[in-house]
Formats: sequence, structure tokens, C-alpha cells
Amino acid sequence: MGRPLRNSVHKLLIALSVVASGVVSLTNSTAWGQRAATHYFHSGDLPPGAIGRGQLLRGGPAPGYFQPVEITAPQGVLISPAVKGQFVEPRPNILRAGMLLGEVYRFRISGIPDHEAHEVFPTVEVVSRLHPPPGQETRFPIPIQLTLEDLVMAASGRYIVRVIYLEDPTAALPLAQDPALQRYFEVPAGQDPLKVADEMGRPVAILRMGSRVPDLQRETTNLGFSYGEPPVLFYEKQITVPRDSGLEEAAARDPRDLRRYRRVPVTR
Amino acid sequence: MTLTQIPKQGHHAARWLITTLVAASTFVAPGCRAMRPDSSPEALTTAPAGATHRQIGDTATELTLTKPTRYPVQRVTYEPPSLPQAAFAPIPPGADQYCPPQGGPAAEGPWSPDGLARPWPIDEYIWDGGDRDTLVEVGNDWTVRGLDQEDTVAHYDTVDGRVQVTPSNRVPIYAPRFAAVRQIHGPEIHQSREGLAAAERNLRLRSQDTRQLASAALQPEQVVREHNLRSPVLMRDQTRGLPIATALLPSGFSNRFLPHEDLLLIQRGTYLASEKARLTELTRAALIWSSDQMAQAVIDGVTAHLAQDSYVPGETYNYELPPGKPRLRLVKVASQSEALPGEIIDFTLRFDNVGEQKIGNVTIVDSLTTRLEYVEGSAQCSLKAKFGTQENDGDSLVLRWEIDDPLDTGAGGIIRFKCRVR
Repeated sequence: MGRPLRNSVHKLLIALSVVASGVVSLTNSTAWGQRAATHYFHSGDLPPGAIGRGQLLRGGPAPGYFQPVEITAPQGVLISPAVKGQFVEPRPNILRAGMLLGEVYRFRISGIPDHEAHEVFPTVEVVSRLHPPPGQETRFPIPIQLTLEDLVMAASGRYIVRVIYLEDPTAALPLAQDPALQRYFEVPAGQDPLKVADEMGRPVAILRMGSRVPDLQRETTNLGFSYGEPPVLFYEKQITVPRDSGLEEAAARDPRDLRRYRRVPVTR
Repeated sequence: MTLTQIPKQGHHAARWLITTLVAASTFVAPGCRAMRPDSSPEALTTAPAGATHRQIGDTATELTLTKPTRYPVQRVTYEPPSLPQAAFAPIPPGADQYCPPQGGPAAEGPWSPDGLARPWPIDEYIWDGGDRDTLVEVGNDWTVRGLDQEDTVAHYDTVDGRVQVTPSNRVPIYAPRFAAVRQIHGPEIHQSREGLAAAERNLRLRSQDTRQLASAALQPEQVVREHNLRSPVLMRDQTRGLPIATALLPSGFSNRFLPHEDLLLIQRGTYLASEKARLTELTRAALIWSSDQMAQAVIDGVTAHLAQDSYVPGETYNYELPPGKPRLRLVKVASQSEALPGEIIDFTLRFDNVGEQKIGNVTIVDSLTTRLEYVEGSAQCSLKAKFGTQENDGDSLVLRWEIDDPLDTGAGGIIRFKCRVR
């Protein structure tokens, strides 16, 4: 009788020591101590407009500010924003507009190369604003690029989310950036793109497109599809005066730009 | 009970009741005109067709207007305010909270939260100059330690064999750069995305957001500006005139000042109080100049008696440099305060021996930040100097000028170079 009792006591002690060592190793592990201490209020899969409206609660001069945004697309693509119940006259390749924070803007993208029969209806949501020097607002718009790859995938039924963020200058990649090709990082489906963008900088805009084919006969008159058609400002021309000094090469500029900024006599 | 089920003896009574109701509604309906949206005073400013201008006492026209007028039924629509340019107007600094912009004349700068240093927000700017993080130290063999990105310092040897280090001011340049995070969902996970969107909307976290706001309200201690330490005598000592020939004696130096160098401080090394505003605009370094890091009082421009009046009336504080103290002033300005990726910025460094003894082995070191790329062959120095570069930890360059000859008291020079914004 004594030996079985002693064996069971030994087994109990061994089990207790294993459990105790496990608890100690768990509480002392670096993984436990390095858990993320950030509580994220937003996530990337919130409905369009929810994140931007949440940002308006933070205070500051965000309500009523029209943040300049520049939407670019490949050659031949037409961009048509939804204004007052219809998609207005499309702009080729590029659209500069001032958008309110917290609002959602619907666009119609047509003329996709090799996919002329398809149309994509992306939305743009501005979630944070910039604070450029006075008078330089339209010189530093938020760039939103519609790549051909994204458009084709959206036309084929995929749902694409692009979170555009402002790089942290202290952790920026030491590489020159081509303004015509925005650098982006791929995030797998299990991760939150908003959180990843927040870790790399400050999210400023969200582009969502694909995964939905609207019934245009019914939905163009439905304000829910165009999210109420919030106010928008269109910048047909670059407003700021270009700097002659500081540019890389004066001759490298597009000669059409020179005509655009041609001086005209002042008339009363 | 429907009308068809009414007994015959009550049929006439019910018919009379219906007739009375219809007649009453006919009389009451015209009285609802006051509820029409176009009956407002603004709508009456546009006279209907056939009406004449109404004047007080004009009975004929009053009779004309009292005729019922047919208004077309219009859909009530909302027109958003057009072109709110006032949204771009800067908010006056110092406001306790946000108030709508009034569209008045431009104030001193864009809005920024109280208590935070300007320019704000810092993630939209790149910086160059100063001595960030670890303080730069120089060994006896002129080995530089603690040189971080953005740092711009000068070190020199004194007559008694010491090595002194002087940082420059910091120059902010508005140059935001963007990137994106892309996520692609296939159609098969579309439904789960919709479900999560409704499930993760947790309103309880709003209070957490509020707490973050409170903890982020960084209130740096207001700098107790001991302006009274600098006496006007000291100002005169440090801003002595310089012969132009001393400052501009270079070989291979472009002997023409750039537009952003139109300052007497840069051209001759002489500080004028009237240039303070423009210098502040170019350097945006007013906070740096008033901090304890910068030993120079020349940019301060605040006389001692002014400070005494504010704090301790009747007392006089004088501070004089010990005789023979070495001192080097290093000022940095940039050609523009904002830039897009690909643009080129001119930087100018002005260094002066504002001390009271000759200094030697003057070396100026500038570690460029990650977003700035040195333009090859653009470095110039008005004095004879050796120039070299070395890679830093931000994959950019450390620029180094070693001035050959010692600097006499009051002597100085100019360094220029160009950087491309990445």
C-alpha cells in the first residue's frame, strides 16, 4: 500500500511542478510582455464613412475642410464622380477634387483598357487631412492611384481596399519615389489594412472598389448608393503658382503646363 | 361598418355628414398657403407675372397683389454651400478650440493644437539641422560620435586645445510622401466581411479614444525665457561688422547670392533685428533659438530691460562673456519651405567666429535625413576647405567640410549644397 501511495504523490508533485513552470514561463515570456498595447477604435472593414466620421470627433479644424485629393488612372480611363443624382461628365485620367472628411464619394470608372465593356464604381473616403502651408493646399493633394491591375481585378469581382497613408518621415524608405507609381504593400486577407497602415504612418484616405455591380436603372437615383452625394469641389487647374526654382529640370516639364500658366492681361 | 352597410333610415344623414366634411375641407385648404416654402420673404422678392411694384398707400397695386397667384409646385431641394474658400483660411493661433474660419486676412500660420510645437503635424515635414537625440561629441582625434540623421554641427579647436561642438538651427521642409496598403478579397469571403463590419462596431471604445486624446495633450513646459541674461553689450560684441572681402574669398565659389540668402546675416554675418522675421521664416527655428540648446543670443533680439520689467522690477541682470571665450555661430537656411518628391532644395550654412579668440580646425558636418539625397557636385564653400561624404545609417550621406585655415575673430564663410527630396 505504501509504494502506490508514494508513486501517486510523486506523480502529483511532478504534475504540479510542470504546471508551475509553465505558468512562470508564460508570465515571464517576452511574447506576453510585448503584446500590443494599442486599442484600435477603427478597423478596415467598417462600413464606408464610419472611420472618417469617427475622426471628426477628435476635434480640430476637420469639419468643413475640403481636403484636396488627386485621383489618377491609366491612360484612356474615364473618371466620373456622382453629383446631384448622376455621374457627371467624365474626366480623362486625372481628377482633382476637394473632399470633406467623413463623407464617401462614389465614382464611375469606365474605358478600362482591354475591358471597355466593364465599369467599376469605387468609393473614396478621406479619414484625415493635411496641414500644408497656407496657399499650398492644392499643391499637396492626397494621391489616390487606380492601377490597371486593381481595375481589372475589381471588374472581375474582387473586392479591393487601398488604405493610403502618410509616411512617417523618420521611418521612410530611403528610396526615391516615382510620383506616377505609388508604393504599396500587400496585406493578406486575415489582416487589417487600416492597422497595418497605421503602424507605417498616418492613414489619410481609403479606396474601396469591386465586389458589387449596381443596378444603374434603380440605384443612380438612390442616394444610398452614392452616399448622399456630399459636396465636392473640383479643381480644374492647379491653383498654386508653380515655382521656377527648385524644380529638377525646367525643360523636362510638359510644355502644356507652360501654356496653362500663361499670363493674361488683367482687365476690369 | 361600411357605407354600403348603413341602414336606409341613416343613409341620408351619413351622406349629409360626408358632404359637410368635403365642404369644410374645401374652405380650410386655402389657409394652408402659409406653409408653402415659396411664401417666404425671399420668395416674394421675385414678383409674379402681372404684378406691379408695391408701395405703401398704393391701393391699386395692393389690390393687384391680393389676387390669388398661381405658384408652380417646386421640389424643395437643398443646395450645399458653394466654394467654401474660408475653409482654407488659417485659424488664428492661440485659439483654445476650433472655430469656423472667417475668411479674413491670412493670419500667422495654419492651425495647430495648443501646447504643441510648430510646425505641426511633424509627420508632414522633413527636418534638417540641429543636434537630434544623442548629443554629438568629438574626440581629440576628431572622431565624431553621436551624429544622428538630420544633425548639422560644426566642431573646432580652441587655442587652449579644447574641441568645441556647435549645432545649427533646424530647418523644416513641408514634404509629405504617401504610400498605400492594399488588400484584395475574393468573392468567397465577401459575406464574412459584411458580418464582421456589423459585429466589430464597439461603441464602448469611444471612451478609450477620449482618454487617448487627454494623454496626448503634450504640454511642454513653457520655456522660461531668460532673456535678461543677454545684455545689449553682448549683442554688440557678437554682431560686429565683417568686411565682405573676408567672407567671400573662395576659389570655385559662385560669387552670387541666392534669393533665399538675401540676409545680412548670411552675406556678412551681421545680425540685424529687422531681419528677424524673414530669418524666422527661412529657418522656422524660433523655438530652437529660444531653447537651452542654443547658446547664441544673437537671434533673440530681446533686450534685457524688457525682461526685467516683466519679472523683477528694479533689478538689473548683466551677463558678460569671459574674456577670450571661443564661440562659433552656425546658421542654416533653405531655399523653400515645402517641396514635392523630386524637387531640389538649396541649403546654405553660414558660420562665423563670434567669439573672442581665433579658432582652428573648423569642421562642419551635416548628416542628411533619409528623405534628402545630396546632389553630386553641388557643394560649395567660400573658404578653402576639404569636402568629403560618407554614408550614414539612413542610406543618405554625411557631408563634411574641413576648413583649412583658422578663423580669426569675426571671420566667417558660407557653405552651399543641394538636395533632392526623395
